Amino acid sequence: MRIHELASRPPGWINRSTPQEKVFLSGAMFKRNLLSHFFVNNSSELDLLTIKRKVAIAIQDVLELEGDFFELDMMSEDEKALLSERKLYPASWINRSSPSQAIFIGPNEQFSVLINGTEHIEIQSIVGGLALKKALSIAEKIERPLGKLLEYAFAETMGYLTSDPLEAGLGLHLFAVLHLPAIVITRQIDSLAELLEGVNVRLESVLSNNMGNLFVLTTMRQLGVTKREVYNSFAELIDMVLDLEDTARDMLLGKYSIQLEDRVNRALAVLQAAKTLSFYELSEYISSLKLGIALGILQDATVYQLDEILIMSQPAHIKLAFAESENFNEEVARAGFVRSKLGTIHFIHGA
Amino acid sequence: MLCEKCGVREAEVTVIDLSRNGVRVYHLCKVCAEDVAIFPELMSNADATTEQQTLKIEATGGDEFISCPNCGTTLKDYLKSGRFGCPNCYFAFREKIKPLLIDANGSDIYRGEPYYRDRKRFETFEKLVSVKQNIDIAVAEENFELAAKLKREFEALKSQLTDENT
Repeated sequence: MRIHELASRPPGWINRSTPQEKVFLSGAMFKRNLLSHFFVNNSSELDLLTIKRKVAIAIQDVLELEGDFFELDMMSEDEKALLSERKLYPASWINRSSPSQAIFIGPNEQFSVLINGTEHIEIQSIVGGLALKKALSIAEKIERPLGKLLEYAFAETMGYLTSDPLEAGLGLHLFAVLHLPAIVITRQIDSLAELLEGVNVRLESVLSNNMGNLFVLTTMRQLGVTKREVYNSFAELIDMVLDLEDTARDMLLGKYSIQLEDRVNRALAVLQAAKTLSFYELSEYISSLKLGIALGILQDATVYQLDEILIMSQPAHIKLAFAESENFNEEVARAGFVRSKLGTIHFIHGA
Repeated sequence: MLCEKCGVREAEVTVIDLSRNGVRVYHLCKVCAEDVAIFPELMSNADATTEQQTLKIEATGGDEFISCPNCGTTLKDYLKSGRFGCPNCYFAFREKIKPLLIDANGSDIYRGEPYYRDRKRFETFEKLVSVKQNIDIAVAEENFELAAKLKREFEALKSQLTDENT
């Protein structure tokens, strides 16, 4: 597989048959370091290259995991941005990757192993919809056997040791990306973030300024809890957030159904007619359409269709998919792509 | 160094601001550090939406220069970057970071599953890595006879590792 190819197809983990409109994806990430080496931030390039080699041999030659291995410094910035848009590589690293950085990407992008990012080894899994247990088990299936070949930095009382002491312990984050338009519209998102902060769950807008109403919730607690406790409380918490979203949606539908319908129709009209589209603008309209589907206002489109458009319309995706066309302009290319995808959808309420 | 808040008195206290977005470090004089209760106002450039958790580490009396015997990272280095240098730093700075860990996790004790170390397997794997390296060298030097011999050695080590895995 070539990285470029990702720009022309949605990730395999997207749930095609039964997409969940409110839960975009679930995931898990393990952060691990090797005992006999300094942490990445304090290591020589030579040492990091040794680490890369060892991890690569463990993954490819011994465990024989299915997937592709990529050297980050062999990639263009656009390709790294593409990886970042696919949630495989931190955006903050795009301008400063080194020859010691590499990423192993499994089939359907369902798991990946980043070598020498902030820690020596970052194992991530992504599953479409709400499937935390599956995500955790996919990541564990790599974390465990890898830890039988490479000696992880671990202390009995402190757990897995990381360069940032606030990550040490379980060295685990569970996360989920949720679509919460009604919570945003009813202005409850800040108080929700505060509430979650109190139980060691971070809530962040996936795009800036709450655009697209997509939020990633991440577990932060590493000490004083077991993995199972983190999982159970996070699963409960997500249910609670989804209930809150449902309540807000019911309220909106009861009180402001015309305004909601207006919002959905306007979104569809713009996406079907616009000649230029910024990604942020698009993300807002896609959110309105998804809400429209969930509330039964829009019946022609599917959640999968919209999720696909959202992923494939991100800046690096558009750039890599269309940059070779004549007079390439990102916003024009995006508008054209979206029109081609949504052209056949009709308004259901004529009034 | 002068206090970052008043800019008049000498900075004597290092204050770590622990927000969810990362660690920020401020060097303050003793007087300004007393205002730690109204700290969010002090951090006018911090993200106002994240709950601020503040913590004071008294870094007078040479504490800043406590260093990790393994990698040489000092407490001052950590306060600056928010990162340790190596696994041993945890033992060198354990007592110093305890309040930080309790503040962030509500505990400083690991309660997850233990990690079993199988030294023999680690050693076998290390051996396999070095054989693999020698294979690459032999191939580069077109010494295919040696490469083939090493390859057999590699396969034997690999089957040891995969057999034990199942």
